[in-house]
Amino acid sequence: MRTATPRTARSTAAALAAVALLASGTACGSSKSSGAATSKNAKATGTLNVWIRGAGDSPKAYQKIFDAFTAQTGIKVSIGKATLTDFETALSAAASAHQLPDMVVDDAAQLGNFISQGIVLPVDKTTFTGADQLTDQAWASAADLKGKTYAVPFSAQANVLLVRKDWLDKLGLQEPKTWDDVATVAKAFTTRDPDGDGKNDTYGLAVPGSTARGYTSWFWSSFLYSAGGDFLKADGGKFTATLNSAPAVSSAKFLEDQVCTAKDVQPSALGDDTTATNKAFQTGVAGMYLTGPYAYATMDATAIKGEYVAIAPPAGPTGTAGTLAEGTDIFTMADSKQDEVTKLEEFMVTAEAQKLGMSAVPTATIVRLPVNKTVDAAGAHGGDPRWQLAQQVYTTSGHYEYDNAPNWTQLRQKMSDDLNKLLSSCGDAKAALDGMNSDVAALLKQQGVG
Amino acid sequence: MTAGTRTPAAADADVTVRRRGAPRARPRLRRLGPWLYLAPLLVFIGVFKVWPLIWGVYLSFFHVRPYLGDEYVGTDNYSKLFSDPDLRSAVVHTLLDALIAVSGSIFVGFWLAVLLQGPARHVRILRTAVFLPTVIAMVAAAELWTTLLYPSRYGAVNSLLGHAGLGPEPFFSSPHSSLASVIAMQIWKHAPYDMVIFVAGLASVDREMYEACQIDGASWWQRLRYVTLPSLRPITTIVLVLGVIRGLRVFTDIWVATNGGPAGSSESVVTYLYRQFSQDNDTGYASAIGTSLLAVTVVLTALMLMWRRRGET
Amino acid sequence: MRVRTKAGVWFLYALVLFVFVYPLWTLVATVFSRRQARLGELMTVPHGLTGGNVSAAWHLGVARGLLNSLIVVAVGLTLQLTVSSLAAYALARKRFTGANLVMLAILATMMMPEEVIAIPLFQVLGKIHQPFTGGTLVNSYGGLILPLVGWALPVYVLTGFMKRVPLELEEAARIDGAGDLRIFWRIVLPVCRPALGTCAVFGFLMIWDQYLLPLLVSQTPRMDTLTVVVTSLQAAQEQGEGVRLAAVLILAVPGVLVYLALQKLFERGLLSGSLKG
Repeated sequence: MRTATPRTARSTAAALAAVALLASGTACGSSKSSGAATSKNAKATGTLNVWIRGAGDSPKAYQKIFDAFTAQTGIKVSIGKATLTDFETALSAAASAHQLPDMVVDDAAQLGNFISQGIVLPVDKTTFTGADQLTDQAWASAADLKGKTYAVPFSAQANVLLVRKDWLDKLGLQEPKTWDDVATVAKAFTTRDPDGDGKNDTYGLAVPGSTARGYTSWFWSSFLYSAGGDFLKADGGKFTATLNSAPAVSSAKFLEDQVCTAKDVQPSALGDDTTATNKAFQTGVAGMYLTGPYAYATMDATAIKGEYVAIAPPAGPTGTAGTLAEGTDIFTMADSKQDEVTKLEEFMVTAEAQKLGMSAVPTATIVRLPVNKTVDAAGAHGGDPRWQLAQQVYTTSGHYEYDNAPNWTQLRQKMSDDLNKLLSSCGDAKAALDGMNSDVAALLKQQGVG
Repeated sequence: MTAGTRTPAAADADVTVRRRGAPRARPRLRRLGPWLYLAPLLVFIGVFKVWPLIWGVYLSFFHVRPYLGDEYVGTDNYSKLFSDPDLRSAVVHTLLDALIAVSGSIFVGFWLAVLLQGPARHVRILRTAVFLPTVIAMVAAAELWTTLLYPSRYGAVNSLLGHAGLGPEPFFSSPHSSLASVIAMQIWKHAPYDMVIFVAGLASVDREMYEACQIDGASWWQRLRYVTLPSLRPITTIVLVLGVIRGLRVFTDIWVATNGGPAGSSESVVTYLYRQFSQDNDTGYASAIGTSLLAVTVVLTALMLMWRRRGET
Repeated sequence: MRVRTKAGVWFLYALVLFVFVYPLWTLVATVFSRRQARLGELMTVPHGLTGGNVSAAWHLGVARGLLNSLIVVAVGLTLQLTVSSLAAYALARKRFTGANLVMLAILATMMMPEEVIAIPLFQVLGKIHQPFTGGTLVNSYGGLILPLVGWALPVYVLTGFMKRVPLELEEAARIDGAGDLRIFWRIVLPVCRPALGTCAVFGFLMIWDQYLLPLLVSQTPRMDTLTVVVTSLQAAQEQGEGVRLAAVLILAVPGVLVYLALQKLFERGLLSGSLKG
């Protein structure tokens, strides 16, 4: 009977051993690699692990391209993380634990950031099959400060203005061509009940004014460019902030007037990200929306299909046409199976893959404007003239942001915070932009390029 | 009751048990016994709490660059703490949030308890219903509240305000009201929990005191003021202090509802820490913020334990 | 006068229900409404009935997320309660040097903000290899579950409760020759059911509510837990509000069910004072 105690001890010890076993495989030495990023071609077997910043139906569209690639080469591809929410948080964590995927598809705005962390491998354009088929404008957006290429462009776009045609018609208005037109139409949409439901529940401009991911600044940029201004001035690997220039102040003032004085933006504007703003446009809350052409698919899937038109962004006070151009880039991650990743990248910019990306899944236009010169945007979209417009706006007036600054997202975040503060406090635009200018100058210095 | 107190009976019994069970047969195993029971827990805490903790402290002395090699920077990350205005405002938000949300929950929870105390069937059902916000996941609550407080006039709360001729209010979308909206959401979620604790506390208020009051002809308010409140004071203080300490780490609610915005107006220390990590890639600085928060928490907890011990003796 | 007081009390009841319960009801009504909600709209009564939102959400990853969350919570909670009650037994019933110190250390981890150690924890997970597959704990159920097992709250609650279990029972069993583990299992644990009920509810919520850990640990849609799916649906533009709210509802329901199922035990545990401090 007294054996009770040892028996107890034994079974507890067994439980303890089971727990200890779990920790037994622990590799204590931290595997910190020093120096430049490497690839692990030696381990070039198995499946390519790809992370995608995209949600909803986008991963399905990527899957179509990857399936075609696997059919052609036999190399398997699996989609890992695919989300819009907190994508970079997960990626930073993966990097910090040396658990990066082989390839990442993300906004071009991450370029400088990835380079300065050393988590991407450079792309050798001279050996890259099909490099000459890509537009120079797209390649340029994938180069670092010294002109070395660190990504493969996959998709490009420039913002266009979506306007509710039915609302214009009802109120007898013309499509806006200038900032003043925009202000007039916005006022009418807000006050003259364009949806005719007898309620005072519509607004002129849909504005993604949230500071999340820097949307406030992102939205502002098209106005900044069409006023003839810019965020920074680049000179020999250094940057100067140019945010308190006259065009910058006037464009910020224009937005402030819409938000504070005319009150013709959707009321949730300053907290809305693009998803929420899309919904505001889709559901008839606001009647004008400056956004990328990928929104065509999103909007056409809703009740307002056919009720809106896409037009060129309004020209600024001096008649300048300027709009935000953006890209989606493919990044080869450090420690990846580089040779196979390169094969996949080469495939993803072929005419075949680009067309798949534009139309394989109608609700997800993962390739907005093709980077491949041999592909015609409108043609791939069944002759849709709205894509022709997007293509033309991109080539003639598209401006890229400074994606190759060591951490553009940090700068954009700061500018968004400052601009959002101006729009919500309705204060003095000039003073706010002076503050923004010195904030950005300080960050540039901190990033080593000031 | 605290960890340290043991009923004399329990202590005596332990001694008795020891005398009766296997005397000197396996003294070493006897001594090892309690540790065998503790071992699984200690292993889990050691591997998944203490190890990361120490690792985090270590990282806080580096400029962390996983693929370029870490750089030892001494206490640079710590001196940056004191010259970072964004961090300073995050600290202010966090303190405001912790203090207001916790005391607000206690206030609302107390009145809920006063209203819904007692064993009657209908109040028990009401208590169960009111408790529901506490048991839904924070992520679900935050998503629900972004809809409730949606800033257009169709937003649930705004359409109510509309009937009263007010609004629409921007709530989460304005730097002026985002933190207040977060606090309202937290009170909604936590007050019912405090209610349950107060219901338990009210049930243990001395009945005789109440009866004595009744005989003296004391009013409802006097009873509350001179009998109920004083007897609830110890619980209230503990709930408050624990709540504030826990409030220092507020993260998920804010991250999901406002992401710290607009323009950093609802940024808490921990959401700021994650912004340093995921946006500025400054893991070392993020670790320094974390380590400091930890140190503050430890000090506060220790102070609270000391103060309680003093109160007991 | 009394009539007026009574009416006042019922008015307060209605107000309380309106504030704390009505929002949850509108969530249900909106999800099952055939007419899609406008942005930000919540309905008092559904406009026509449909299960379409729920089934749409179900096919957008909610099914997989729910399954993963259920696996994580079932295994995690079992381990958490087992490990905690074993430890509590030692702390409450044994006398040994260092007991106070251990209790203090455990309490200290209760105050430790888990979000703060999430990044180094993730790196630690990347260093621990699993016994059979050889992979690390990143992107595995192990990584989602094991960090949640060691939690101070149940240890604290159970220790407090076990200390107040009368010893006569235990002694009698010991005279009958029962071993330690047997006493623990057959005598102590059953008496502790209210405390276990309290701990189960809290443990369930703690595990079910995890957001940051699964966000980092899960690296494929296959491993996403429900919280991660719900927040990512927020950004899926193709779906209406109803679908997002349906996912939110599915995330909210299990906590309610667990609470209702364990309510009696939970409240007895709370009333027994184990949580008053």
